[in-house]
Amino acid sequence: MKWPNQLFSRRRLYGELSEEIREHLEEKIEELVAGGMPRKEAVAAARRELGNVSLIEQDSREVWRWPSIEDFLMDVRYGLRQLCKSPGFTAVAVLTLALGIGANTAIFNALDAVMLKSLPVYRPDQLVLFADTVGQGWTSSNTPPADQLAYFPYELYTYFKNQNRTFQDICAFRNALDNVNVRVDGVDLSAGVQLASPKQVSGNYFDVLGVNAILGRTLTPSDDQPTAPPAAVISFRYWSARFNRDASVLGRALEANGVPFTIVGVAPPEFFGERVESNPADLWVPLAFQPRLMQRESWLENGAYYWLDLIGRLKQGVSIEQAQAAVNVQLHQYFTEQAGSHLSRERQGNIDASKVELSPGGRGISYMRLFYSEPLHVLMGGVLIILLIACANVATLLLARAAGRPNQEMSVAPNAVGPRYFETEGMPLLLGRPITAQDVKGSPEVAVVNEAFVRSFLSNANPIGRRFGPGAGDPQHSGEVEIVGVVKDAKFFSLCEQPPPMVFLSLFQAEGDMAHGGLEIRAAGDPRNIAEEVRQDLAETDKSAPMPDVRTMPEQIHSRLNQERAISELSSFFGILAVLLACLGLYGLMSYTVARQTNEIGVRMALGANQGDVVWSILGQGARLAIVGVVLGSGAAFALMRLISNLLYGVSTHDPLTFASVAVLLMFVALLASFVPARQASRVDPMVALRYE
Amino acid sequence: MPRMKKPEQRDLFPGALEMMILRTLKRQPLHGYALAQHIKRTSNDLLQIEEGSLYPALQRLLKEDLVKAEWGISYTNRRVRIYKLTAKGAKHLDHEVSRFERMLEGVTRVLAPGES
Repeated sequence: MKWPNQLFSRRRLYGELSEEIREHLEEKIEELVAGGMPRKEAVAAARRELGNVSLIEQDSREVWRWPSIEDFLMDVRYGLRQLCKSPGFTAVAVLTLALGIGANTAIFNALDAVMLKSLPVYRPDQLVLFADTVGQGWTSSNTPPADQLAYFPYELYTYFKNQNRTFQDICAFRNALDNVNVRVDGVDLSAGVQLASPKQVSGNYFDVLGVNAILGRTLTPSDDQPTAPPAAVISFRYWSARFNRDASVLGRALEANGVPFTIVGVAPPEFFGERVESNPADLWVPLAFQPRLMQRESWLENGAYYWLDLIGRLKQGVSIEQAQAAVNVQLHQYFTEQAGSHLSRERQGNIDASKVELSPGGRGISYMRLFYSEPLHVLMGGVLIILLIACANVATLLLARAAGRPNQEMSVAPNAVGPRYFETEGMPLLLGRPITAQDVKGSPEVAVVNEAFVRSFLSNANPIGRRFGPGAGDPQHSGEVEIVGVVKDAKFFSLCEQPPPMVFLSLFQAEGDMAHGGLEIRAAGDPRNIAEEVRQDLAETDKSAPMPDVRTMPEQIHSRLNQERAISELSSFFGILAVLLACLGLYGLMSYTVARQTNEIGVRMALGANQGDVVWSILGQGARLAIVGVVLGSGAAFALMRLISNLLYGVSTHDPLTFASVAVLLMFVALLASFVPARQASRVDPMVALRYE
Repeated sequence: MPRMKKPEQRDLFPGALEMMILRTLKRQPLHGYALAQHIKRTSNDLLQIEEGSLYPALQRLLKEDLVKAEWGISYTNRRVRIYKLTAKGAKHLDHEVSRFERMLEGVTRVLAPGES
């Protein structure tokens, strides 16, 4: 028999089976009666010998069924019927689960975007990041965790490229975005000048990543020549925002900091560069224009500038370990060639210790990953707990119903300082004197350090008059800077950070690139009004100077804080959600517990207890449970707070108000959950309550 | 939904009842009651078989096309369903019997005294 027939003939089959069994019984009875047994006994005996008829029928039917599917459908039908019977319960359960699942989906999406997703490039698995763990110059990173790269000079990049045997190709790009003035031909950019963020990349950048332009072309190695006509590729986002996706954008002149670029292409919409950041590049320009774009000396010709990130595409069949071994050999060769004949023992040691660590580059570079990895994981943990609470709630309801530290001077972040910097910044001087307008070139070089510096390097000894030199291991410069003052620690990069050891130097004693700095102005009136004045003054001084991005300090702090704030706000939201769910679950559990005592309450009422006494005793019982819960919960929460306070901005271990209000809220819910059903039960007729199950 | 163990699994090894049904039907087509009596009688009541357990087994055999059933009239003049062995059933029986015999031989050897 084939299964469609089975389906249609099943009803008939079952009927036949019953008939067959009935006939069997009758035949047996008749035979027994014929053998002389009284009919009544015969019936009993026949039944006994045949066995449990309904079980036999069930077993027989099961033979014809697809048991799992049909059981499942039956369970679903039963479940739906039960849910329809109590819409209130259903609504609460569905809402609870929806909130739990929704929160998890949202955070996982964020985590996925920041932590897990591959770059929208060709074969991301072949891409490899060059990460250096030893600082060889002042621009190197001081605490390189897994995703943070150390940087390379242009010369070293070309060395790697020339010696390369393991990569299909290697590209380089500036480790930061610049902020430049942009003028576009024929486009009225309101004030005429706009700020944009160009990314300086080697000519083979798009080639190595395997990204094609959706309009026009990408950059090529021939664009990356100082004599080439300046070409730029713009991002899809920039194209949309500034050019309204106008296809005639190709060939237009785009002047960035005075360099007359021509737009040659538009990148695809999903491509934001090799970085996963909240502020992606607006345009990509060749490295060759670095001096003109940045209006600084050429970093291409000076091997002392570590400013490039490198990404290579592995050759087919070459492992990352093989490539790393090859790159490190080249690195040591390069440094040894650089050092030439006068190779000090210390220098040799540094060279031997230097190394490049290659890491998979398919996910791109992300400082966001670095900064938000922990908070996102905390959030993920949080929402998982919310889901857990949600599940526990639903179960309860169902139940209720059924019843980093640096240790070398060279890794200190330097800060060249104009006079009155500390005053402007509001950093109190603790010892000695600040840097003054007299600390200029020719006068003895001085520095002010912060408390963290004194703690880290001088074991809290009085630092005034002590000397040090920038560039460790360089005997020419050792001990030429004298510490003249100590200021209080301040946070510079993130509000979560431990203040790093800092050295403040005089801007007027600085040389080369160190002589560039930011300008901070303490305004007498509203600081927002000062921006235009500053721009005008600057334009009067130097017409070609790039227009600065003038921002007030609160704005600056605000932008730094935006993401941290978002994380904190999300945490609060989820926290409130968790408390809400906890209340819901608590209410369900307590009211269930009390409702189960309806019977007992009935007995007490029948024995003459008065309503008030009964309600009070139930309330007391609820309160005891709630107090125990609140005490245990507060203890656990306090322990976890210490862990989380390091990860989330604005969370302190001492927040008595929050603690107290949550405790009071939960107590209130517990009491309410006891009170309502207790009062109900005490009003029920004792006879009804006694029969209550 | 709790499911009971199938009765024949309590008393006999799986497939034993089916094998005996097939063997009995090989001799002649029979209806359920007569089949039950025959098996009981032939085994000299040594096998404790609940008569009812016959029916789920018959349904399994029907499903596998090892037997077929037709309504007819018994010699006691009752409307009964008469079961008949199919060609597939006959083949299956041969196969099962030889398998059983091998198994029995194995068990017997192990149980035989003097050898270990």
